[in-house]
Amino acid sequence: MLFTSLDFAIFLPVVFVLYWFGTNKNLKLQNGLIVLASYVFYGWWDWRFLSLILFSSLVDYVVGRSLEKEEDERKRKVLLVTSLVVNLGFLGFFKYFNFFLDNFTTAFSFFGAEIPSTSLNIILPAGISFYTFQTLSYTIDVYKRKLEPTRDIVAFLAYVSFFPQLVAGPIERATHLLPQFHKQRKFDVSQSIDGLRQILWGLFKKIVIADGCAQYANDIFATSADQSGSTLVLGAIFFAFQIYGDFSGYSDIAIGTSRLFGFDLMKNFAFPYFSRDIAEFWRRWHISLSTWFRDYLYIPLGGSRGGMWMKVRNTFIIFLVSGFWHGANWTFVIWGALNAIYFLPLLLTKQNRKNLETVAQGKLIPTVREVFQMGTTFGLTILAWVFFRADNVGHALEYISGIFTASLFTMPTVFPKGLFLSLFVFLLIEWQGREQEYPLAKIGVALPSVARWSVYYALIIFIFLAGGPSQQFVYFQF
Amino acid sequence: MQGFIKKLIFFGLGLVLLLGVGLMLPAPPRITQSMVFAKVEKDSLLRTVSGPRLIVVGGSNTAYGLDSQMIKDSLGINPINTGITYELGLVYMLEATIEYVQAGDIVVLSPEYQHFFGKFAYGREFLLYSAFDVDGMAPWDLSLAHWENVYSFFPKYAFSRFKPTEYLPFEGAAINRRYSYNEYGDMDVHWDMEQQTFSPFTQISRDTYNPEVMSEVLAFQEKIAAKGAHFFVTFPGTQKTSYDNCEEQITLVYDKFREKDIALLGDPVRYIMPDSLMFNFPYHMVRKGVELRTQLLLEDLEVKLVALNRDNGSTSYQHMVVVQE
Repeated sequence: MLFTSLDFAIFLPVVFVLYWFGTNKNLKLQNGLIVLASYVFYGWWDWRFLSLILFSSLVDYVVGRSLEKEEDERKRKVLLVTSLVVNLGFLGFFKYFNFFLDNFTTAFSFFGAEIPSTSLNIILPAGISFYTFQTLSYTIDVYKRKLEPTRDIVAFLAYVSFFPQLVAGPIERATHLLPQFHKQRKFDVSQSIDGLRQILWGLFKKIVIADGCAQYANDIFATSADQSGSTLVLGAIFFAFQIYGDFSGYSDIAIGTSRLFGFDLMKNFAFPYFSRDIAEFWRRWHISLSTWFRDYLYIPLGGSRGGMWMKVRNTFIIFLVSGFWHGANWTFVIWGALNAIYFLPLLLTKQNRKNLETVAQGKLIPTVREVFQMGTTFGLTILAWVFFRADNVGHALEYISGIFTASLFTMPTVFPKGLFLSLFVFLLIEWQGREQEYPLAKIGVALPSVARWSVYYALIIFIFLAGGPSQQFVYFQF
Repeated sequence: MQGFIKKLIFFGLGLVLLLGVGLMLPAPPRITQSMVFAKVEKDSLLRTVSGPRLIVVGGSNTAYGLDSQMIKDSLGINPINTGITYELGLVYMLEATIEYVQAGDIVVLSPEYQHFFGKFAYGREFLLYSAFDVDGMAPWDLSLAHWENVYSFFPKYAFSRFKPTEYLPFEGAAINRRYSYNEYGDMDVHWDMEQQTFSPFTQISRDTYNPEVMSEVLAFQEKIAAKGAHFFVTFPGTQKTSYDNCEEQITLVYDKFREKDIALLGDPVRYIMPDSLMFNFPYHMVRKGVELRTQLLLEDLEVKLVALNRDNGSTSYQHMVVVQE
């Protein structure tokens, strides 16, 4: 079920009413309703894949309970490996089977050995990368004795399948989200209104910014061979805003929806395009995934301790794995590698934790230096996004070489004024709200109710008028 | 909680009120000058042009794909090109045409392939403008099947009345305007323009084939026959690359037509157009493409009309049409 669909617009109020009026006196019943609603939400797309979520959840629940009882370290390790194999096995099969098969076949044929192979027609279950990582965080934390395993299977099923963030995150840690299912939730008016406001902002990002940019980005990438350098640059910029609006918009809707039900989800984006270097960008982009990799991969590998080669190795591993997590295509791997290359000089010169606070904190206008830094970081990011968006590596290289031609200095053939206006308004609102949880967070406090409602109505009208043709959320494919 | 629910209800009522106001406001100038309003002139042609007539029904594939003057010169009958955009939906196009069909008319349907998949035939955004602003229909005049398809565009349609730019004159190229069509209804302002960059179709639709649409075509055919007119189906001039990408779905539509008792003019392969003759969309052609497509249609039409003529004992198809008038 899409957040931007009529189905969801009906589904959400129905679940809300049942949640607060029908099941609010009984925690188990309320959690049960969340499981049911989440399974309906997911099954709306394809009910067959519900069995995968259920199976993963049951395996991890049982592994968690067994880890609690088991003291023998060797057996505990076996239990952990069981969970990893099951979860990563599903992920590997559904997401990477054909990729590895194709690459093995190609590799062998390069050496003259023809291997008969048939790619399987595998449908990628929506959100498998997200819920797999979420459930793995539970098993790993229980294994490391950072978390008490739950004995409440309903709460655990609700934690794995919680519908607002099931399909595209934020990837919640069990230590943060699971305890919330064990406590009675109380309805909080201001929290709910805040949630609705964040949903509204998320819809704006998705429908106006992401969908608006998508139609141009798609066209320019599809016809890149015929486009001028300046148009290709514009196409890459449009994609940069598409992916940001799409993914952070989803996160805003997910966080806002969770607030309506009394839950607090982690922040997933913190105005990443206002970053002054790549290290800051990665502290602000897809925070739930970056911190997941940091805690469960980077630090166990040794992190930034040890010698230079250790740092280089670990940085490359985390970025390459992060790229590969996004999809079974070499373009994602190169995207990850490029980001590693951007990041390494900062790490090796110990400059990676230089910009920890928000840019131009407490000020309205940034300095020229900050503008230059943000522009450079954005430019590097855009170059990497070309690999992320391209159909294959050849397409990305052709796209980039197409940029660096004499036609770079001509007027772009595409110039959507309305979209530029939307982007300008968007950046302005994001800039003024960059020190808040989300840009509209303070609007409720600062304005009288008539003015506040007028802003909401204006935003809703703007969403309908300026919204691009409806598109699937990009991150569903991951 | 009660306060929260009350606020939500009040907020929702405010939205409904805004939608209602939008619906009641007249169409702003920019919409009245857009291609949707070309239907006013096209309907006028359907009402006033005398027989013998050839009425071509379809979306922009006919608007951007026919030179009616060639048809008139070749067949000596009066062509009317009703094509505007496929977003109106095939069902609405058929409903909007049938009332004007007269005995002896030759009606050629040239449907875009998209109509036969999912609910595309029940229209998209432009249908609302055409139905409410041009035809003056009320919301309840549209069928449930139409609403099911276009409800998501309704807020945009109603709120468009509040958009300041809708009250400003158009800028830029003169295509897709109310007066971009010639006296027969062909879009001709682009004929001497340069070819534009556009993406070919990668697929006709993600949806599955919808047999209901073929039933609508058959029902239309029956109504045409009841009025004493003749009915043919032809195929859009389609960009070669797009055809190659979508061959399976296009062939499926063709096969479904062949299964029915419908007189077909050519087949989809015959109307494949070289990429070099396309303008800005896989169904839109530059002048040379328009001439090629019209020539192919004329050849197919002549064969059918001569056959019809023979059945009726006439010596020329022109005579046949006149006799039936």
